[in-house]
Amino acid sequence: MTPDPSWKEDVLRLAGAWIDGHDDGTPAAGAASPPSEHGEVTQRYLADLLLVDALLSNMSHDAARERERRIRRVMQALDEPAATVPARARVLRWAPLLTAAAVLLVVVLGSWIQFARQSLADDVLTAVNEVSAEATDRVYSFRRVQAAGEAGGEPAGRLYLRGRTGLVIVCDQAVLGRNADQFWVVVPPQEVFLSHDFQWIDARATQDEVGLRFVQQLSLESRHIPLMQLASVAELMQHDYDVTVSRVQFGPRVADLLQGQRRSARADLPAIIRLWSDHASRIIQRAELSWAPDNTLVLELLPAELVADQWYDYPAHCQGVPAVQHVP
Amino acid sequence: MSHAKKLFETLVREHADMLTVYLRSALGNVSDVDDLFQETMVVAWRRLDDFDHTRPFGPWLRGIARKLLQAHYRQARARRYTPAILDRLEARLAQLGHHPGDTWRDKLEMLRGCVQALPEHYHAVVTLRYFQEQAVAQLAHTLRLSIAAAKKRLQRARALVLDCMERKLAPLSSPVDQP
Repeated sequence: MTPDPSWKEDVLRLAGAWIDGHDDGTPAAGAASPPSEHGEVTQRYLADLLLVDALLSNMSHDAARERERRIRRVMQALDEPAATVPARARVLRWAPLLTAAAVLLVVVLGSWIQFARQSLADDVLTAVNEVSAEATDRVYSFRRVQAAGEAGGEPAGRLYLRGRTGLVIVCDQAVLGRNADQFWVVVPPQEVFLSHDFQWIDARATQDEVGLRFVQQLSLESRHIPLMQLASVAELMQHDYDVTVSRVQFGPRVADLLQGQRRSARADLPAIIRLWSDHASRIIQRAELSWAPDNTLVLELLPAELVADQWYDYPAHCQGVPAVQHVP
Repeated sequence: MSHAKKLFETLVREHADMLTVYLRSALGNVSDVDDLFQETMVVAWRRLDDFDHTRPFGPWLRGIARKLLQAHYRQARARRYTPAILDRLEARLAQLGHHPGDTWRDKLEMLRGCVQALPEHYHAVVTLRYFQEQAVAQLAHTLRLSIAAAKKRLQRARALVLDCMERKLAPLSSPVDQP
């Protein structure tokens, strides 16, 4: 690439405005001059910078969850003969025919109450999602209920959450955690596994029987663990569940009870999710993730406690210098 | 699910990241990526009989996506990218497709290396923006920078990553002319 600071600076600024100026989905004012006004050389450089941004975004850990969500949407669309293209695109393509929609007015009115309820549930979920994504520490007890109607049972462990990507689960055998883009397991006395993909950690740990002991002691299954990040659960409900909301009393608090029924046939996702979110703060007070009547994971909010800044990094759980293995 | 759909799901999974990157690069509005992704895959499924199985699937998929992007540019009030930009994206992704590695993740190892090799202050801003997904205002606050300075640092960091990526891709017989 020929060094030429003047034009490069201009393109860098333009690409920066395009990329960083629309965090909220809108372009930065005055920054989006049409690309056709730029020469071909600068357009290529602009394309390269846009590609670098997209590649870096694709390396974030949330990208894996987004990928799975998109794949689910595609496969669901293939199973629905009438829904071969996304709703937005169909509306745009068949816009002239929408005049005929007046005929459907009675049906629309009949569906209105149901729609309004779903819309309200979506609003509540969005608010819960936003609050759960804040970089604030929350501590939950968790236990797995393995008999229908069972209410009690000692908590199996303690779960620490910070925003979308901070997670720590502590038990006697090991500590499992996640910070930003990587998962880790600290195994006593001084062994650490690191990976950007939980499945790798799970497979490796199970291979070494560490994970097996870990999940057995906590009475968990591997599929439970990624869903213990409650911000992910709220987001999952928005995309993959039929959700209703109702106002309930939760101890001394008024709470919104969000009940989600899984739409797809994927057995790795809970069939039913229930979230009790405080009506004022939107903080999740209790969550029930139920794969079957005899397989429910229950999380309950504990009183706030002071958590060290580095708590979600593995060194906070090691003594001395550990042997660190990066799992591909 | 039929056997054909299971096979197609494998193809979707294999090319999902590549297509997401292509669409994200070519769309100003990230929220449109989901719809275009689904639409591309559904069209690919419907036209699977047209696909020449002796040729790679990725470029064919991007061909479908490109047509849908152009339709999207016409229909929506979206920022329109020129053919030159789309050509460049296609060439770059083709180049990445030829880069060593069995999977998309393998191919991007060199990009991880580029990020790791960034000077500390650029590495920090990339980590906060892309791996911790902080908005510019938030990362500016974290790094105690003005928003303008944070944006400037991000711009420089992306340019450095691009330079590094070009160096690592260069040994290949590249179809991409230098700008």
